[in-house]
Amino acid sequence: MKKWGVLLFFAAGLVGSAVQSADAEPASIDRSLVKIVAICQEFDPFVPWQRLPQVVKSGYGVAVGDGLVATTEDLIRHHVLVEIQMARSGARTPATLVQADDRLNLALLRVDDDIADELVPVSIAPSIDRKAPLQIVQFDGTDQPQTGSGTISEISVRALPLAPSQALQIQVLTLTSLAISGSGVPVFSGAELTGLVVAFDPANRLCSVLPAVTIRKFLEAALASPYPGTAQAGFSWTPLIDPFKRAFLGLTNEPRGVLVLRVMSRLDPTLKKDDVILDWDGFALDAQGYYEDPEFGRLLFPYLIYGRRRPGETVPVKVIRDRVPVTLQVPLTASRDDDSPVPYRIAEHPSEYIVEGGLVLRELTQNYLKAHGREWAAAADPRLVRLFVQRHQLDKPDDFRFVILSRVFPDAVNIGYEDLQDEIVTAVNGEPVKNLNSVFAILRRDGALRRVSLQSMGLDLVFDPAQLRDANARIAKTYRIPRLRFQQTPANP
Amino acid sequence: MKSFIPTTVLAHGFLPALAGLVCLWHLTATPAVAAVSGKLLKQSVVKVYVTGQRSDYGQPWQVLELSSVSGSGFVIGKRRILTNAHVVSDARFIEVQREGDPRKFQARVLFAGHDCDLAILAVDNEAFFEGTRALPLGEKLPDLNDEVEVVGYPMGGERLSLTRGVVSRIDYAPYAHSGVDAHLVIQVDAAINPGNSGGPVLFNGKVAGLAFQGLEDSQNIGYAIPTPVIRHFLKDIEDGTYDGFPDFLVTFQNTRNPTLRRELGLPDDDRGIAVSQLHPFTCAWGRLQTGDVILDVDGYPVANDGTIVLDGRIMEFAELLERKQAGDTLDLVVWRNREKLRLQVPLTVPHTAFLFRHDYDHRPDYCVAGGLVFSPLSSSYMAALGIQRLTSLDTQHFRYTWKYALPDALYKERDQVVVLIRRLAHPCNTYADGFILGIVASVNGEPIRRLEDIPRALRQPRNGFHVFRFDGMDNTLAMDAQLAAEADRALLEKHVIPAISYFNPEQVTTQRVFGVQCSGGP
Repeated sequence: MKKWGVLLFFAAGLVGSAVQSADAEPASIDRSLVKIVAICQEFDPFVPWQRLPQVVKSGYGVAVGDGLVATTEDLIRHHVLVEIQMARSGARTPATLVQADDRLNLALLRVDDDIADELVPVSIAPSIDRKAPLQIVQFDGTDQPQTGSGTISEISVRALPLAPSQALQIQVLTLTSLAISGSGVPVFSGAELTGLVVAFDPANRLCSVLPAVTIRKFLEAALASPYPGTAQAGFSWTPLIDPFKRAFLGLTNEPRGVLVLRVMSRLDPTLKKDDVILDWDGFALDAQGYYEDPEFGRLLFPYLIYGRRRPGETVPVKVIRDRVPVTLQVPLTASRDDDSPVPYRIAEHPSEYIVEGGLVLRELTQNYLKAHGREWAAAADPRLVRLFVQRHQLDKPDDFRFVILSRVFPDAVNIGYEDLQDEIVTAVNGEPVKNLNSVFAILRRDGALRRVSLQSMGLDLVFDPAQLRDANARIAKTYRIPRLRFQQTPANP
Repeated sequence: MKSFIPTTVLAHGFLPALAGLVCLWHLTATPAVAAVSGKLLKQSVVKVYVTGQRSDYGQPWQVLELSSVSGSGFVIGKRRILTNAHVVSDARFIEVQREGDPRKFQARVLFAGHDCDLAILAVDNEAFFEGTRALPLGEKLPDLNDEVEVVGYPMGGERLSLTRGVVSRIDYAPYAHSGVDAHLVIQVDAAINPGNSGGPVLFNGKVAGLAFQGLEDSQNIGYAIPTPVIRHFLKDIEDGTYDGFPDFLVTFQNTRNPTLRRELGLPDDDRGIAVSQLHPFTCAWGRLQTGDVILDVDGYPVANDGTIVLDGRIMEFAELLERKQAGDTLDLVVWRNREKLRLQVPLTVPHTAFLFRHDYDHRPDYCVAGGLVFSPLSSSYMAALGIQRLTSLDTQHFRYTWKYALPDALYKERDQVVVLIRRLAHPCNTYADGFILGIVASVNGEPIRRLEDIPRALRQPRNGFHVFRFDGMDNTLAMDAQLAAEADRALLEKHVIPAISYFNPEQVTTQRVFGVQCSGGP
């Protein structure tokens, strides 16, 4: 009976706030809220000189400065054109990208048109009032702002949908219907921006909202040059709840602290494997890694790194090392996608590649693996998936990337090799490869591809350089490949 | 990889195709519809009734529910019946019945070749064989478009059934029963349905093959085991034991590429298949080398894609290996360092825990420690687990090991892949769920090369704790050693587990075979 009572109360609360919301529409939202239409066309990871079919995405953004509009990164990911549209207007104006952070799932756009003068920046909320009613604003069918209501059900650090990281998010309960991706729908508390919706769960009527504090921090960084990114301390950790594990580690004190599993090799190794972190930046951690945030309550401690600090800062950390308490000063660096030999590259646009003798060579990325479909982890080659899963455990130099033979375009010059695909390349022309740049360098030095060594084959694939020039031209023509090599820098050959 | 010529090890490469192949025993059906066939067939073809009981690979001390299946078989002389291994696998009780005779006679398995899906049954009651006649094996394979008859006891009736069709293909193809082996098959377009398994496929009144599998979601595609495979099996068991088919377990690379041929110094004659990868527990190890090009096998020239012309047909050269017995030799002409070399390779049957053949007719190995259940990775465990369920990133190291243990030579680190397959819940192991499907790397600092190493390692806890490490995981699992021992005593009783461990005395590990058969290497 008690459980039913709680549920009924909750439902009544929702209806109540929906009724209230009509009066609570933020002032001048007409000139702050914009609809964003992004024409997106990703390059095909398998045929990286071609684009996949065009996708038109539509979502929202809010004016946050002089001609500046904040939205979610996934909305404009792989865009070829971004346009904004104001309320009560069918007119679209092009916008350009100022900065995008695919790890935070935030982007900042600039409108270079007269329309910029019409935009009124919103006020970004300095904090979150858990009890305040929220307004979720989007356009209705007549392009007028339509306001729905919501209430905060949870503030927590959780995995971001559509981005490869965790972030502080507000879970908002609402009766309003939204696109599943969220698409940057703004959420207000009174006249202040509380956050942008990054995902919507229609079954549970829950929005995941990136909070204002994260947006504010991103905006500060986005206008800096170079973009500093978010802070990281470069280690992996695990909760220390298991009493036997704690006893094995000699932890006889109260059950708190988390265990360092691995420290990123390229960083200053202030922290060490098997350190038990008791306090981070002045906050005591429990055995699950939670601390009591003065603003948001119980949060996972990584928020203290990327949410409260910046790259380049140093934080005090109390650990138990070899059963002895030690206080360390841990330096923070910028979080980079290049921190592992198999990066995400989720917004890569386009990928670097080499087509030589019909062999398509490129670096292994998560983006490439994800191109194998929704169940990509099971659909892609397990050898490659394993490299991604264990990317932080592979003992490789910082600039090492796995070069793969993605596929072969059959031709007389590669006869007998045509069925190879997703093979790991270990050497080119007899020289070990450490990334695609090294392959570019080898080819520039040697003039042509003569030999490719694959991890799984005892014999090399060999080519006759005298035949390659004609073969490359033939392959480019036959398979309509506009350029056989693409390198971001230096200049494309 | 597709361009390489598969010997049986590359049957792993066949797995996608295997997914559609189904064995054709039949869950016992009921209605009776009369079917009439010739007198000889009635005297030779029998119905096989099997009550089976598989081990439960998820809870390896238990068995699954009883199953009742039926298949077909035929008398082959010496009062023996030939049928499919998959019909009588994990059988607990077998009966055979002749056409027109209401009596069922108890039978037993004399030999089972799971790699070729053939089995010999014996019936001790001589009354069964009164009036029976052995079906003769044909000398020649039928050709394409030759008419064949499929005889047996398929679903849809109780009496003998005969269907006609033609040979639509003769090929080298995977055998679904073992999951990893490939041999010659005859593909026919006659209806072959569940229950036909083990029945004869006749050509000109003689046995041309034995119906054994079909292709899911297809029409008029059925497969028969041809007489060369049957004869190999029958000859193999003449000495009273079944050894199996010799194999090199070599990965080959075609030499179609002219530049590759020039690099190897090969003449421009489209001959020869190159050795790409070898493994140390095979007869090829120490004799063949990476980069060798096999030009001739037993006098048959090998084409650059690994095929030969045998009996007027193009076949994989592995077929020559297939027709040999363990202990025979194979004569090779090999191109090495730009010279021809003659090699004689005494053939052996490779045994390795990394082939992951489906297991039958034996209990799975396991051991329990602190409520954690460990077992060697096997095809049967994977079937119980459902490989299609392994979609999360957490399970991808496990999936990688399953697919690439042999090609990536993981046997260098271990003799078996030992897996934490489940947790018997107890307060001593509450936080162990995240380690399930972990591949055990070490226990208490001792590397785990095989399952038996675990109890050995558990004898030396570290400061009163058992510490488990798993491949690809930074985190370790620690367990109070004394509490774990107490937990096991309670858990064995609670879960009705007869023993804390079971080790099959005949288990195959790479180490055992490695020690016997390896002699040097390239």
